[in-house]
Amino acid sequence: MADATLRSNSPLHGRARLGRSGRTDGDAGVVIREIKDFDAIQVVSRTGRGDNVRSILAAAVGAEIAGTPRRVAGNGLVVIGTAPGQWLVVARAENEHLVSLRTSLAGYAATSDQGAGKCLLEISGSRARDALRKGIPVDLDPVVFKTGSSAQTVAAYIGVQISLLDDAPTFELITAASTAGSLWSWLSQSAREYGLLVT
Amino acid sequence: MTHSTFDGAGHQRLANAGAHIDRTRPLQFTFDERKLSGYHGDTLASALVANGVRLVGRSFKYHRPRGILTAGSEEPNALVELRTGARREANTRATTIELYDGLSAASQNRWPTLAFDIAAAAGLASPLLHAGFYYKTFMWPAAFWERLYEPAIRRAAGLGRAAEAADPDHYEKAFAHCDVLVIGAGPAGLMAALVAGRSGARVILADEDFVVGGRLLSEQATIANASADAWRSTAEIELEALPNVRIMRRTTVFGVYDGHTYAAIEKVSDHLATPPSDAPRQRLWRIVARRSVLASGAHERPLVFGGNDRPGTMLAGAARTYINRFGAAPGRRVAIFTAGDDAWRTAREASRCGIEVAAIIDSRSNAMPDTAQIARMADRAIFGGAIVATSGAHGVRSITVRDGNGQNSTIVCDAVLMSGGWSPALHLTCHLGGKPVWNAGLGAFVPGQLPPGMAVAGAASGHFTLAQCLATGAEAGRDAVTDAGFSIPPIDVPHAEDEPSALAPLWHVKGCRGPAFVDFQNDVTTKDIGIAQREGYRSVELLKRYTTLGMATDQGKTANVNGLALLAEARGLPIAEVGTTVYRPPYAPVAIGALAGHHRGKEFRPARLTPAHDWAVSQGAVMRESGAWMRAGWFPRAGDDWLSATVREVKTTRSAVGFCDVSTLGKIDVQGPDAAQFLDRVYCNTFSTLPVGKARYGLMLREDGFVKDDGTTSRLAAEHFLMTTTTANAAGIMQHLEFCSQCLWPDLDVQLASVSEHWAQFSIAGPRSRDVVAKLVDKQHDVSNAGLPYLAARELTVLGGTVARLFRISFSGELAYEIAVPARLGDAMARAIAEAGAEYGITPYGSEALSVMRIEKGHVAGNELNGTTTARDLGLEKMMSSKKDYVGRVLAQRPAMLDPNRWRLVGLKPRDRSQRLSAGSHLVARDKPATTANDQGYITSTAYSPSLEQWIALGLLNRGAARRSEIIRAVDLLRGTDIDVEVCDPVFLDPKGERLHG
Repeated sequence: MADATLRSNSPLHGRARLGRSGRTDGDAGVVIREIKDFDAIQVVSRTGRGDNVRSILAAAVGAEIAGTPRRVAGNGLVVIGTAPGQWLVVARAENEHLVSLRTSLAGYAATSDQGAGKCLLEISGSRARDALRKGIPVDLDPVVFKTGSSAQTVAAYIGVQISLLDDAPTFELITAASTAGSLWSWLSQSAREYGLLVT
Repeated sequence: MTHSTFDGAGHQRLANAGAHIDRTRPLQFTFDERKLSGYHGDTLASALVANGVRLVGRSFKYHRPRGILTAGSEEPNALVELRTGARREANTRATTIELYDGLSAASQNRWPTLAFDIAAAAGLASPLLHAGFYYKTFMWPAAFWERLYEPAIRRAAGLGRAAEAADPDHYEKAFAHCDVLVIGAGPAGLMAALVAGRSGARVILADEDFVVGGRLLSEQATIANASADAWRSTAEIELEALPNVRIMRRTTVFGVYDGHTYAAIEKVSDHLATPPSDAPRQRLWRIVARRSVLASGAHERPLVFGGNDRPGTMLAGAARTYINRFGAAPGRRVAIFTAGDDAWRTAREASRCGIEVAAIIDSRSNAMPDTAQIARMADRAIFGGAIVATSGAHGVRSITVRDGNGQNSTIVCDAVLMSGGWSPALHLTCHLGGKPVWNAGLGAFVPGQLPPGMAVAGAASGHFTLAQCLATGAEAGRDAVTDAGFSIPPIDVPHAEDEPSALAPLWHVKGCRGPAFVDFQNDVTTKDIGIAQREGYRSVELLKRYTTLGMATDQGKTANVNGLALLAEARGLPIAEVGTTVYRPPYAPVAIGALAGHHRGKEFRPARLTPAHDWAVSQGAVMRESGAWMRAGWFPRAGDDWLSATVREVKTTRSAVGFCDVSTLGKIDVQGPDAAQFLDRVYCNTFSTLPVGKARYGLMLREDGFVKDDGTTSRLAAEHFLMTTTTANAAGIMQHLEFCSQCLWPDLDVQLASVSEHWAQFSIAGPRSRDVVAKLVDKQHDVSNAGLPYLAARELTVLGGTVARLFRISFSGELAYEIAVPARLGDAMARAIAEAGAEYGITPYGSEALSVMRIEKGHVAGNELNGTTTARDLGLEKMMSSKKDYVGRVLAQRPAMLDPNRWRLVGLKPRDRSQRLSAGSHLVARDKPATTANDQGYITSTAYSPSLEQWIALGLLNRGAARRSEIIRAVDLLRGTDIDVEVCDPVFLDPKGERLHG
């Protein structure tokens, strides 16, 4: 019994159907991909250690970490500022950097496992902004929300962390696993009129 | 004058006018089952006008026949039921409905038919329904109100019928942000949008119409030496081409809110027979705009004279819209009644299209007409005159005109086109408290103090002429973008004429015959305003409520100014002193469905699912809402009801083993050098003494000394505690801890993180639970009673290396564990537990069995931790440390909190074991009547105890601790039960806790 392995289920397992839905003519205006294989930790700086933590995080991703809600990626790690002195660090797939990062942070910050409780979506397509604006109250216009921008906000009464990965545009949405089904219901409905492709 | 210009398609469709209908695209529709046709570009109202349909509905109170008054969203009369079946929508304004093929509409408020209405024919209503009649007539006897009067009034005075099936359409919300929001796409709005758009600012131009242009669509005018429509079209093309400009058609901005926020409703699919399956019907926009330009235009005022509500009576400006935009003639022989210059344009344009103008009646004796021009456009012109009566059963057939010398004459006509001047549509300027200001020169209220960031342009600001609209629009657009930080090129305002717009307001015609209506929608006449004034309702707000003037779907857009002018006259005050009523959102009716958006039915609010949700469903669990969570209530087998399933689950757990998904409990990482001290201050008991690897039950008080929450907290490392909270309070406790950390004790070095979502957690309880746990946990970890004693907490691995946490804690009173794994493995873990426990007869159990077992053990839960109980009330006073300070300590010592007469948690058992107790029953002494004065407490929780084989209860009873074995009564006046109960210890089962340590 103790040798059995546990199968991992994503929060949208059985809820997000792959393929096209909604409007079927033409290219899909909205393409959504669920990232299933990732790990994440929440980093909370010790009192007065914010600068040290930023330096450690900067060294880990190989880029400067601002004290603002931005998304910075590098070395297979993603660092998102979520609150003063707080960051969410995401590692796609297996990532030894996350383990060594925790070690480096010891004494400077508290870390907590968060990955299993998150749902991570990438949303792209020519109408991605139009679909997202049906629930996201922050200004997603490229004039304001540029690559690397990130915001903690709500969509359909559910907390989300939204970031812009590139000008395609590709948005990254990180949200709680327990409400991922409700979020999906809103998001998929919102994308239908533009043609939705789930990959 | 030509008389042969009506084409053959509709009775009154003009061949030589109608710039915005497409005669190559005919559309078929029905009105009251009559088959009619119109064109693409028509509204329902314009198509009805073109078909010669004058009688469109019956009025609210008096069931008087009514026609179409306006050509816009201010329409008070032409309310119809649109569509059929589940999509039937009452009170839609025919003037705003875009015609589509197959449209079906029906008139309202008539029985049996529109032309012959019994209530109107019998004159049932009119003598009774004057102002205030509801308040006066049905005062006595009071009991008759609900049963007799109200239903009767509602039948007689309803407005349309709601659909009887659920709305099949989808609605949604959306957010937009811009530098400049331009509200209204008439000449001023287009000009403002052009100026703002050319600067590169992000501009949203919203207009309720489906064609951009506003009054430009309705007028024959010249801009920059070309037709106004040509300029309109060029402006639209330029705006469409600007990537920073978004034109939102069919979008009504209906509210202004704090923080430069505007609400708008976009009618995405209302112009289609049914919405495409993937598109919403309507979309509610929240627009945040750094600056806004209100260019909402103006509403023309009716004139108040006898019989002014007869079908065929229409506003003169609306008539120009029907003629110029839709090519629909409001009549074949019309009379024009005006108090200003504006309606002379209607006469000119009507006659140009071949409509006979029987007379122009101008109430001003000093108007300076060009007689030659008059002769070209009208048969007669009467100055200083007025219409005093109209006649015709279902529409105007003739009018009685009193000339400047007081001589009456009758003029035959089939329409009266009237103009009492224009009122700026300033509603949105008032939503944040602005008060309109009376401008006597204009004869109109103009905007007063504006919402922050808003400017007003064009007719909405009292600049009624086309030249003024273009100039003020350009100015407002320039100011808006410069305020928003953009620089702009020089503005070239195109040239236009200032058309004559003089006015001498005429608030009502004295000495006329028949009722003169002020508010058509609410059937308010001049007489009603007099009654209200005489009866003391002198404030304009009271007038509104007493007479219903300005209420309902049109909110008095055409009625209010006339009404308050009449009130001013009756009170002998200037209009400025009477003022206006308060304008509130929405500017125009908004469907409730649009306000709900996606969030209806099961999407009303987000549902939280545990990681093992799908597993529970696959096991047949009955899922129930528990706050936002869905939790398994019980796992029925064939023939089970909730009780038999729960009893089986409890018995199996107590005799063998059961497991339950407890992932919903709140979990908070409390870390840092001062974490232990922090917990000592947050909890009333001590945590700094807790060894690493152990869990402890904690009790938290509120600042006021009452109990806040409870749960176990484990010490995983010297500087790492894991707190659990009740399911219901998880978010609130996180907030509380953040408040304590950030505001109360910022000096403590503590880091908080909610980890509720990361861990799936299962309770495994019962005498065989250790056997099951031993099969799951990897072999190197010792789970024996010695290796993992009661209240041990371990980080270890299960099932071949999966990271897990194991806690030996119990809510059921049995030997029990809670095992946590990362949430993504929760579903698989539930299956693994079921498989591992199969040989011991394991059962999953739900929240019902969980509750039964905790009641048997006298453990408090939400029913007892209800904000009114102290630690002492719950028998937990020993947890309150006397050696340290903590939140709630001081106020828990208030005399009332220590009063020995306070209630206290007790167990309760019915004397007759067969009787069932109900939660909420009040506890009274055996010999006292069940009254509030004799109330001694109440039952908080009840359960059928499979262990005791009877119903048991927990309750709060005055001086309960000293009353063991006393017999009292549990009285439930709602359910009508009165049961003798014995007071006992709240711990019904295993009081020594031997099972825990088994």
